[in-house]
Amino acid sequence: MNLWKKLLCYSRRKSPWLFHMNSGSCNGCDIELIAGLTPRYDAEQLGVKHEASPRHADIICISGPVTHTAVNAMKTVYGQVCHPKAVVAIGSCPASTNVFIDSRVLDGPLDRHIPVDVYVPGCPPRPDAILAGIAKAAEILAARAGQEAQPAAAPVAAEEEKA
Amino acid sequence: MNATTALLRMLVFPGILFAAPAAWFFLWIERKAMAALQQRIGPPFMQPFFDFVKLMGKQVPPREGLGGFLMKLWPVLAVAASAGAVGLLPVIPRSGGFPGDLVLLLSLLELPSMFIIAAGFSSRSLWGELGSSREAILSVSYNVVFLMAIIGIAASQHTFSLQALAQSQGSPLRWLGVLAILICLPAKLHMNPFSVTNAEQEIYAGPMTEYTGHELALWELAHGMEWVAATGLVATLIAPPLANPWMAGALFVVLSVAVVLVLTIVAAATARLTIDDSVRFFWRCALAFAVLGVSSVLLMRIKL
Amino acid sequence: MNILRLLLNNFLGGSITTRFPNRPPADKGFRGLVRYDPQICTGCGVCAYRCSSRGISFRSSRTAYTWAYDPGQCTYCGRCVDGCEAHAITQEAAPPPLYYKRDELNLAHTTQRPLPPPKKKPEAAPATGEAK
Repeated sequence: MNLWKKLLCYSRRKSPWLFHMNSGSCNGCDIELIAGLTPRYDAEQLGVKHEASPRHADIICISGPVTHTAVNAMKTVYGQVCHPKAVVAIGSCPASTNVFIDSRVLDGPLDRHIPVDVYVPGCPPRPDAILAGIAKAAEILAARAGQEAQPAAAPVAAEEEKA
Repeated sequence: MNATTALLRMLVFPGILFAAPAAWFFLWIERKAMAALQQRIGPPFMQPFFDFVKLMGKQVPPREGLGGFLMKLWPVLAVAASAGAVGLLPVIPRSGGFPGDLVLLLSLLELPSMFIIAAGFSSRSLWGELGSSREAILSVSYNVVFLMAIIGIAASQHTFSLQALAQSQGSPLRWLGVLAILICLPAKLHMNPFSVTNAEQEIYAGPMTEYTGHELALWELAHGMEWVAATGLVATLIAPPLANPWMAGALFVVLSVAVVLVLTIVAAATARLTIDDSVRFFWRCALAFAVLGVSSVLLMRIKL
Repeated sequence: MNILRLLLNNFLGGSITTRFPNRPPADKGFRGLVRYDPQICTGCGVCAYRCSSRGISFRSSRTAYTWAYDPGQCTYCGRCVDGCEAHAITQEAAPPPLYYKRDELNLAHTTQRPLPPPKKKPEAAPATGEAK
């Protein structure tokens, strides 16, 4: 059993699958994330696969200051990713809303809504910095192998009363 | 073939125990070759195995009722069917077999795509249903060509036994048939020119959209085993008969990997066709070939 | 057929990927984290005024001023560096490091204003761009 745990831990570190979500970003970070998949940086050397379905993913990459319209979608996506999961905030926007601060279409920085594990600073960050962030998030995932329960399933509920 | 050899072939070699690592290896080869053709490094060795283990350790959301049960059932059935298909392959000559096992192999090869169609619809996801309907349309088109090619080959040798096919010499007509099969394989394996079924990003993950955790792991495994079975079928058809079982086994593996590489090159060189274009391709171009092949085989039989 | 030749060249050319822990070096003019030298700073607060994303805040009183910087809020545009008359603000030429908690990289520096000479009353600090 212990061996299985170790193998599982190792595999989680070796194969982080991404789901990329744009929460109102200017597309700069999105382009840099995709640049991380190109031959020059090749995220696949880390075992990264850019998945289209949040159900398949382990790591959610979120770019953009969280707009009002994106909040619900983002929480849904966060809930759809199954248990061992990590969140990488790409760029300055999810960390702090960056230049869009005080805009009335925004609903605050990302960590007001879902717990963030790694922040990749930059506007936009370089692709290699994003890869480093993903590798770090994969290590965090592996560390989460021990806890079998869902870790504090995010304050998703707060949004429901309006709907 | 008695019960014990059948069970051994199903479970040990070349069945599940051999087929699972082979499936991961083939998937890895495919990804690595794709990376090499795009000047990338590609995934580390045996990456699909780690993907499998990771997915096994992932939580699955609670699924209730008949739909949930079916969603758990389909991947298991798909793995069983494709493992059975691999188990039938005559990797080592004279290791048993029965008349008509080619027919069983074809049906077992066809089952996973049936299960994929069913899986997409039972996941109740819009994208799953879209992917499933695409898979259904595509499988109706390529299977006509695929089956005709196989029938042509089998009819030219007067046998439906894989063993006999593997032992017999190739003829020009057989090469035509193999070509037709190779054209159909990308559609069967959801590879690039005909990857409309699970069209990544375009319709999310197609029929697999809602699957996660061990279900998805089993789907990946079934897909890998489909690779092994389909490339193995081609390898069986093109391998020259060898007496030495070790040599024959090694040649089989080498030929299978070569087929994987050919398919990867085709996938890397082409872009995804729309469902209309794929269907049109199979019904207009490939079907003519297949009909030509089958009819010439039948005409030759009349002469004989 | 052109694509096949392309693929062959790609295959023969080998990979052009940078292996993961290695990272391509940043260019010479790369704009990274903002660095601040309290020795040179005159306390004018123009940096906070020029900051396009309120990454720099400048709080000033009669006796002291506090320069605070939040890299999470920073756009790395370099306007503060350009605007600094005394060249007290510079930018690292390296990509900023990852961080794991909000405000982990924040910097704040408080400088005491030199005591005014006893006779004259000190002028108010020019252009104290009071950041909220």
